[in-house]
Amino acid sequence: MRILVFLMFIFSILCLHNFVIAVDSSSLLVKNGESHLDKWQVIEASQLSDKALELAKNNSDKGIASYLKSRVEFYKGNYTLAAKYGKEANTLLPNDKEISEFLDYISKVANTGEKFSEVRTTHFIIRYSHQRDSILPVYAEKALEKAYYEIGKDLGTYPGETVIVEVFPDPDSFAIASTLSEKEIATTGVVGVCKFNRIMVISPRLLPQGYLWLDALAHEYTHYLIFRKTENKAPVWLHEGIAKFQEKRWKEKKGTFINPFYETLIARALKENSLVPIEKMHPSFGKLSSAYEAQLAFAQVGTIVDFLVNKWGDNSLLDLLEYLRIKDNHEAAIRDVTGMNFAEFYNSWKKDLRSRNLKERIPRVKVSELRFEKDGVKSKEQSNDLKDLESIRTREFTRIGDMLKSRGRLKAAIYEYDQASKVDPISPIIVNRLASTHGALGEYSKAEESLSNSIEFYPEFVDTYINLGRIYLQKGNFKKAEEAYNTAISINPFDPEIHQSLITIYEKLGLPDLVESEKKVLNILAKEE
Amino acid sequence: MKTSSEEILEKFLRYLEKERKRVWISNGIVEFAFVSFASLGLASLLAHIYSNNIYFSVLKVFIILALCYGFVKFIVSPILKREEKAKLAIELEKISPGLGEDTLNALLLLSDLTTNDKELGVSKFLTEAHVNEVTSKLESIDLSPAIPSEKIKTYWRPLAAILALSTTMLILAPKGFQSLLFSANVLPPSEPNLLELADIEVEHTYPAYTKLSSQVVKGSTGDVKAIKGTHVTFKAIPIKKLVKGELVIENGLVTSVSSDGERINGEFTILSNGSFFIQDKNGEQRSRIFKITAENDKNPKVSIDSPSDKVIEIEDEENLDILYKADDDFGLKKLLLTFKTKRGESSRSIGQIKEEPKSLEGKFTWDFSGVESEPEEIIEAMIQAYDNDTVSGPKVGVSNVIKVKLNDPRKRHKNILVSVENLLDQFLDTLADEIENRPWDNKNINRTKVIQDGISSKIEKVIDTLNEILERIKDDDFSNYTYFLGLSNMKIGTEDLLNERHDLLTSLSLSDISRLTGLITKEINEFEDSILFLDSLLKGDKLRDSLLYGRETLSKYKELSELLKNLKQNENEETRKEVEKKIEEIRGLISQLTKTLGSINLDIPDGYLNPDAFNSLDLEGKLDEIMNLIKEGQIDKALEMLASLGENLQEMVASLESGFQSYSSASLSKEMTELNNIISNIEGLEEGEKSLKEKTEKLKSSLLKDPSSKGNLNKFVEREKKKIEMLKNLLMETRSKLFPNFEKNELVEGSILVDRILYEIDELKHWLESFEFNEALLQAKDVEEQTIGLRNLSDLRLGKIASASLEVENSAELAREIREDLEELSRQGGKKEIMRDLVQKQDSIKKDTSKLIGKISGLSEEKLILPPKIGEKLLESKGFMQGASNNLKDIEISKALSNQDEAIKALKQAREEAKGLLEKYQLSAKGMGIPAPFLMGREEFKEGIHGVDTSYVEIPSAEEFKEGREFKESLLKSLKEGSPEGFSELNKNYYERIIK
Repeated sequence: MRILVFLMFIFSILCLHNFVIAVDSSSLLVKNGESHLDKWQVIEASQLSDKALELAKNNSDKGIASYLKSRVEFYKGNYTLAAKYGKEANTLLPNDKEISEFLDYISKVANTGEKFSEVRTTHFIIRYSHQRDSILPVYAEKALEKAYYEIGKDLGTYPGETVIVEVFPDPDSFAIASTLSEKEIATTGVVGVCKFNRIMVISPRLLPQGYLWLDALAHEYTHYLIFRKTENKAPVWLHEGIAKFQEKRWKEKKGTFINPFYETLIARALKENSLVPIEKMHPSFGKLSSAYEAQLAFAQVGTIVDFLVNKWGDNSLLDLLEYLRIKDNHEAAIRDVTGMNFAEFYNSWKKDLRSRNLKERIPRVKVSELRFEKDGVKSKEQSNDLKDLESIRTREFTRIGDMLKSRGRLKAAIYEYDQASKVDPISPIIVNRLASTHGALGEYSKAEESLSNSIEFYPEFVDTYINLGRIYLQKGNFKKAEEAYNTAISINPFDPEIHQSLITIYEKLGLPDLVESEKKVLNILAKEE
Repeated sequence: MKTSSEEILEKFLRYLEKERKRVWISNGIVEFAFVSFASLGLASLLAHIYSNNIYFSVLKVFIILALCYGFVKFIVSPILKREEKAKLAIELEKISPGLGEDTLNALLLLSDLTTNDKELGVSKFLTEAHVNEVTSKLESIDLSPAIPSEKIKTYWRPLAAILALSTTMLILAPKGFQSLLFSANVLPPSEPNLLELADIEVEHTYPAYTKLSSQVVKGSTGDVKAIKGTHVTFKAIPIKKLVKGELVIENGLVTSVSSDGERINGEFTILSNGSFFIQDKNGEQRSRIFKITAENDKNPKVSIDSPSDKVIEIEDEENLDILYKADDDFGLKKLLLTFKTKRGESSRSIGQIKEEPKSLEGKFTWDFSGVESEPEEIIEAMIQAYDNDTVSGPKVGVSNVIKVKLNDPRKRHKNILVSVENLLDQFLDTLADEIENRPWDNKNINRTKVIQDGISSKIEKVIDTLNEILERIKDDDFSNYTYFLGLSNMKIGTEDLLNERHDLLTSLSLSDISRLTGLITKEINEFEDSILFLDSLLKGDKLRDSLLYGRETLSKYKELSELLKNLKQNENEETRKEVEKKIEEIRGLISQLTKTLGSINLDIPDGYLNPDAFNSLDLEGKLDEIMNLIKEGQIDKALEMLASLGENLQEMVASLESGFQSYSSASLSKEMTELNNIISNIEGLEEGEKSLKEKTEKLKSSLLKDPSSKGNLNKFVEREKKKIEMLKNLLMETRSKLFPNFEKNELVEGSILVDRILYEIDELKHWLESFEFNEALLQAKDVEEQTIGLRNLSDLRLGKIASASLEVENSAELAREIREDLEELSRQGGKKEIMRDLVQKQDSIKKDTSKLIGKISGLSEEKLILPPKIGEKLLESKGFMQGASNNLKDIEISKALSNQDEAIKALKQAREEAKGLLEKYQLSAKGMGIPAPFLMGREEFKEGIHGVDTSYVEIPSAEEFKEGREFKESLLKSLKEGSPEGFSELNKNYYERIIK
């Protein structure tokens, strides 16, 4: 009898012990899982969340385990599962504010997320929901896969998991998903974010002129790599600096970072001593006070990274990221790489800038806030873009030019555009009108010259590339035409003319696969017209 | 062949037969008469036994049977009776025995002889002899016994007696029997017996609406004839006593008949044609049937005398005066104007008709507000006159039809805009020609001339189009005067250029090329501005149109909401149809809105509603869904969707309003700011001037009440006035000496001078009383001078004046004294000291006014235009201030006050002008028309009170948003005269402002 009682006692102790171990283990697993998730190590976090959920099946940790699972699924891009586990966690822990807020957030995001269609490439999953946006993966795939290799090589990292890229169909859904307000988006011109283990961009369809969306994808992908590489330890300014520095690597070899636009911004800031302080760049560029300030900040951080790479070599970037991961301190990392403390490094950068004798190359440079086409509908009206002309007189001349041009009075239209151009000589709006009118008169050289010059100042102005493409096509220079149209696609691929022209070019060049590909794109656009 | 004997025999026999038959018939008639009279008398006698129709009927049958029997028996029978030869022979035998047999044999023999000669057994001769013998016998005897006697001769007395008797009986027979006997009926009638009525009296009481008095017809037949609704009182004396009677009308309506023992009284109302009778309630007696003739109330007659044109075209907000006449037999109750459109029939009441007149003549002003017709639809209208018939209901008279067409002002405006678009095209075409054909290097003068002549033609066409638009725009309520002014300016500018062009091209030579180039440059600039203005005009108009459509859609949406709520509470087909109709109306408006928005070039800053984004709202799709939900009976869901649609609409209208306001105020914002500043400045000046005036008034008062240390002004004035009175008396005496015969009024030496001095003395007195000492001094000097002149005349002893030399001398002395007193007063420096402060203040205000005037003219250089009246009034004010300042310096306080008062008034007018304009600008910015300040005329705008151009065209108030033709015409006239010097630039600047 005594033995029996003893055995029962031992059994009870063991049961209690096992229970305690289970509780300890599940909470520990959740903690570890969260730690991995914060570093975007989603596979590890996923494994831990599954184990934690298994262990916490019958204990009080089930709530937090479900919450971890919900987050993991969200990071993996599984909106339905994320919502399911989120609701479960919320039921178990109804008073947990964090869980409620998270559930609220994913419910909103899921409204768009559940409507996504996706295209899988070797290393990416590209999602979209608007039918017209279905043409984007065709071009995004090339750019992203190129970026995977080029930027991966520069930063020394190639992620094993497929990277989720989501294209949002409207500003509202993008604002919700990015957790930025619409005002912040419009003010600072944020068109993409890298957050929650994914790349999120707004469709170029939503901006009147589009934007360099392929560069933006590469930019955000760079952020992704930095996250992974530094385990989320890079400061915002460095994040943005490296991303800015790398964003064109998918299409260009390493070169000079600075362009006339950034040169103008920095030259003016140096002159007026109005550089954006590094501290002000935290926590996000999206929180800066104006589009101008955001662009200046980009110019600054881009040139800082450019300065670093130029002065301390390509490996300096790799080293910097590594030090950041290890030390979690950007000043220490800078010191380790450059041998200078941060202040010295910063001053050295400024000195370097001053030594370059930068100039305000674009007079009266203006950085506009983002203006979305409501519901993605672009106005067909030819004169609709005149609002972007600052001078009233320029607007007037241009408007008269437009009226004359639409009536076939091309020479007179050129006269009026010339008048406008005298007031605002580098405005891409006027340059493009002039060039297209010259082109219509067969004066290709004049048109080509003015357009080529304009690219330097306004590299994102899609009409410039389309007009150039037209001229090259007229001249029979198919390679150059193709190049111009492809650049146009990298800004705004929704203009059917681009694809129609590419079909012609590819037919001439004997590239049937590309002809078919472009025809498909054109069909989609035609259906949605 | 017959022998004579034979013929005589046959003749005798025929005679006998004929005579006998005649007598038989004659006798039959007598017998029939007997039977008839007897039966009739008998029946009449028997009729007294029972007074019963059946009985009467039996008696009638009896009479008929008796008559029939008698007729057959006594008349028909003898007529048909044929006498045999044998019977005749018997009758002859009775007269003469043997004669009958002989006659018979003779007849037989004759018969045998005629039929068969060969077989005759008796000789012909013998036969003839026998016949002759018989014939002779017959001739020789009296045959009358063979003819029966005539009864009439025998029975005429009884026949007459029975006739008299039966007639008497018949007359005395009961009337019922008589009537039955003489009626065609054999069977007894169902009606009771005839009720005899005597002394019938009928009273007609006409319906109240006829306003006719009652009428009594005595000795009436009993038949009644009157208008429907007439109440009839029937009175009569029954021959037989009627205990309980009733009056029965044809339609079965029965009313009791009262009786006062002698006279019966029945009443009924005439409602239709028919008849009536009186009967006892047992139905035994009944009067004859009286006829009722119901006369109808006649329909009113109505006619429209004016307008009489086939189709009258009505402009927006125009009314139509309709002259009409109506009359009716008893009275008119109501007149309605009824009109038919494609949307249905409607009517308007034509005033209140009092006292139901029989005829009416008047004018109705048809206000077309609320009359909805389709474009070009012809509306048919007529007047319906209703009479006052309360019995059978109002009768309606319908007038002749008039036809009306409502001209759609919106459509007219649209047509003008089409012309404006055409004008824009013409300008663009001309501009392009100018640009593309600039004669920079063209040495071929002839070719240049040809090209430029072509351009001139185009410019002429542009002017033609402008003229046409300006003419049409006068009647266009949707074009505000900004349009008009802009286009008028454009016309003047273009015409000026064309004139210059014509001058140049008439004798164009190579040396003129540089001038031509300059002109073309000017034209290019001018045409560019014109194009921009037209572009802006079209855009603004479309935007305003969109806003109007938007507002109308929102208003219809609200109506639809109410209808849907009604439908939810009380579902019926009518409301459902209304809902459907409203949805269709909204759909139409949305379609118009979409079209208009789509045609706007939205290149204006501060983005407006994107038409494509508007399309994406899919309002029409939502309307379809609402419609489907209603059809499915899901009213709640439809209401929900409608609420969402409403939000979209409100958002859209707000966006349009904001867009329109920013568009309208974009060019006016600077004007508004400046106007606010100017108003504030003028208010400051006004306050300053008022304060100064108060101080001046105080000064005047203090001068009156509190005299200076050197003398009391009042006393001074009083003292001087006494001197003036003395002077006047002296002069009057002088005058009396000069004119002993005053009546003759002869011209005497010095008389004119005396009169003049007297007049000037009065003036002097006036200045003194007004404390205008400077003026008084001047006047005193004049008076003194005149008195000296008079003294000189006296010294010369000219005319009669010598007789008044003493008075003249004293007058001159007194005048000198007055002058010296006034000079002494003006030398008192203390008073100038008192004024110094006021003068300084007045000068300071004047300086500020000058600055403000300078600022206003400076604004023109900034291309801001303000109405010239502000400047004019400020200049006026400045002039008055200057005057006040001078007055104060000269201690002319009353004058100074008067000038200050005028200055304040002028300032106030300037302020009100500026405020009025500001209000117009503000209203403009809210989409209520764009004001256009402008100055017309060629008068120079000069500095000072005089020389200000007064041909300023009043700007209509905000309420007068729709400018009249008259205003526009006066504006055009003024514009034709051109702008005043200096203001042509202002006009140009203003024009440029409008463009921007």
